[in-house]
Amino acid sequence: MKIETVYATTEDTVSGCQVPPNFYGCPNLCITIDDEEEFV
Amino acid sequence: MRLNKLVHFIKNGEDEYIVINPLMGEVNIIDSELYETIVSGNFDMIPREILEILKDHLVLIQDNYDEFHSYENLLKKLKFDTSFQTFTILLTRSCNLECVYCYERTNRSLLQRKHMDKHVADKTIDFINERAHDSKRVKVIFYGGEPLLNTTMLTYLTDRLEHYHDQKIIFELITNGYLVKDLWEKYKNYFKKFKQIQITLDGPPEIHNKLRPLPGKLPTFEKILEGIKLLTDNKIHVALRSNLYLKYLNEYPRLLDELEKYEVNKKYIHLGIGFVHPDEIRNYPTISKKFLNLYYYAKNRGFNVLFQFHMQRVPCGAVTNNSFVIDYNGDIYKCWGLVGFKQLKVGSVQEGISERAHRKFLDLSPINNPKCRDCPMLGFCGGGCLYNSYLNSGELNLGFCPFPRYNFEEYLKLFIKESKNNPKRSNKP
Repeated sequence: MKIETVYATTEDTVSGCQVPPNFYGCPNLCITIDDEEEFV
Repeated sequence: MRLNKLVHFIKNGEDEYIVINPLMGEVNIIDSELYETIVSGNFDMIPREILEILKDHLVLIQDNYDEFHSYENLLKKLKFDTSFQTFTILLTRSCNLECVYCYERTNRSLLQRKHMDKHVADKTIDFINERAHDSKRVKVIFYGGEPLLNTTMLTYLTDRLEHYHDQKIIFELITNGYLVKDLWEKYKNYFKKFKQIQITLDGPPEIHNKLRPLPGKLPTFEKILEGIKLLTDNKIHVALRSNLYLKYLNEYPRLLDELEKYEVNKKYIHLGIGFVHPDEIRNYPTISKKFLNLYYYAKNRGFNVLFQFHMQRVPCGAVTNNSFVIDYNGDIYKCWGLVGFKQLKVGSVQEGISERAHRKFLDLSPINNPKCRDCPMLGFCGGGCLYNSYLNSGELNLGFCPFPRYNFEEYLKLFIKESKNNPKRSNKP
């Protein structure tokens, strides 16, 4: 028998990316930028 | 000991099961033997080491443990976390485009040619500073109408808020993009402050121009694309939104052709595909599949594509104490789509938040809705979009399923694959 954790969140994305999976009606998109340091 | 009722198992190939655990915010993979043993309740047969993991991760819980109560407490913690706050500011109700599907056209009171003035801007700054002075990060999103029609307040607010919050503030802009090229030289230092700028192109030129024209049905595609080119050439990230209709879906690749023709730097383009027209809701089962096809197609062509499916137990900022939408006149709402619905206003920057009105949103919980509470997608949609629900039923509630629900297993498997490929999105213990 075996178990493997493939995803574990330490914080929800709600504060940063407040977008439901379908953004019909919601104009808010939130992109994930890997090289954030360039822009902060 | 017993199985946590919030945990769901999804078969994954011949020998594996995916274990979704919204209470822990986790996804695990187990083999069939372990699955059979868990669901049969023969916990004594599970090796001690694995049993401890299942208990630690709350897959198995004590008989008297109330997982729904725990989940409510978790949601409350997330809702009232103010370490990161978001303020969306409508700089104006005015717009230079006449998009055929604009939700502001469905609510006639929104079609006022009114800009935010300095008095309201000052009150907005006070409101943000007061609420966010202890926050670690603050996000301000400028929106409208078309926010670039009010550059006076855009620059004023940006300067003042940046001065007060310094490094912890993030600015974003949502614009139709038509004025970017005209304003670039004068305002390029402001454009460069935005972590992302969201611009919409609804397909190749002839479709976009039909859906998002100037008054008099004049075209906008080319000028907007020139603006996008300017931004991306200057290393500014653009979230390129496309509001698609099912009937135009097959034309979308030609938009990607246009981006390549203009040699837009793909590193700075992030495609966001949405379906905004209310009629599209009845097409959700089809859209659910088609979106995935489009996602793979655009990825294969080397584009970044937003995958709007991740572990998100609170559906959106509308039900939290850390997100507010501020109208041009200072009225405060919880949802971008609900701006102008006066009965759902929760306060104003002049008078503050009405706790009673705010409670209507903060108290919304998917756990109160059996359809959501027992759904395997609970931890991914948090109960769905309350604006959709309001439009469809007139009730401010959760429980309106987003389109990935109709093809949930495929989305889940892609989510796992993406999480493995992008360790930043997954924090394995």
